[in-house]
Amino acid sequence: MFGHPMGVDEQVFRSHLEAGPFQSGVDRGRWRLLSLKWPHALIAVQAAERVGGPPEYALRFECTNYPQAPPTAQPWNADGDAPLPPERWPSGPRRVSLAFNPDWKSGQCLYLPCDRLSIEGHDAWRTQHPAMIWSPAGDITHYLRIVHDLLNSSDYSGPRGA
Amino acid sequence: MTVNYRRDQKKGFFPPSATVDWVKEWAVGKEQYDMSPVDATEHVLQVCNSVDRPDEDVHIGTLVKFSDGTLCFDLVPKQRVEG
Repeated sequence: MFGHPMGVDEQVFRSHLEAGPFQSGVDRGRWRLLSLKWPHALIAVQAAERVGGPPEYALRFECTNYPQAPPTAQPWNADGDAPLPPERWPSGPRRVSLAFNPDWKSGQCLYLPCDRLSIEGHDAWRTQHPAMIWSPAGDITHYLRIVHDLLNSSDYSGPRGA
Repeated sequence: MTVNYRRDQKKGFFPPSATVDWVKEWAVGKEQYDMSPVDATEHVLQVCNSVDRPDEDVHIGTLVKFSDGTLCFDLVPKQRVEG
């Protein structure tokens, strides 16, 4: 049993973790749940092999009001249970460094249209990047797929400090 | 099955069990749009007239909306998020 009354957002999130899309990603080695301490979920996303690069990056999702509200996520040091230092954030000459920008909102979130903090003030993204906009009908794998795609793209070149 | 890229259009035949990844491999291949491996990773299949970009392991039979069994994709670049 859980030590607190479980809200609808947590119930839905947990059901999505058990559902096909998330489990399919787990089976394929794309991502895995590290921990869940509501409203935070720590999920590791597999990254392409790069010199000096890790096999995966942990993201700490904050999922309040999921799935009506989009989640927000920041790179996380799972071992130290702390934000990932900027020099260990993923980088790349084009798309990756724009999405993983530790200077954006003090590194609290990823610069992506599916992120709750980043979509604020970016109404133009709804027409510019409709495929990356969060939908309450979707699930956490929408965000994870976008991150996994970035970390396995030709643009990803490893951590900033590598 | 139709895959549009820029102003060009390629047609192919696939079983319903074919995956999106299979179709993309065909579309970016030498006989079709002949993309470099790097260019191929920077493009994605999007269902025509939608913003739906199905995962690579999705079977295309689940995406067919028309009674004649046809399906249409646009091959679109993965855009940088800026602004």
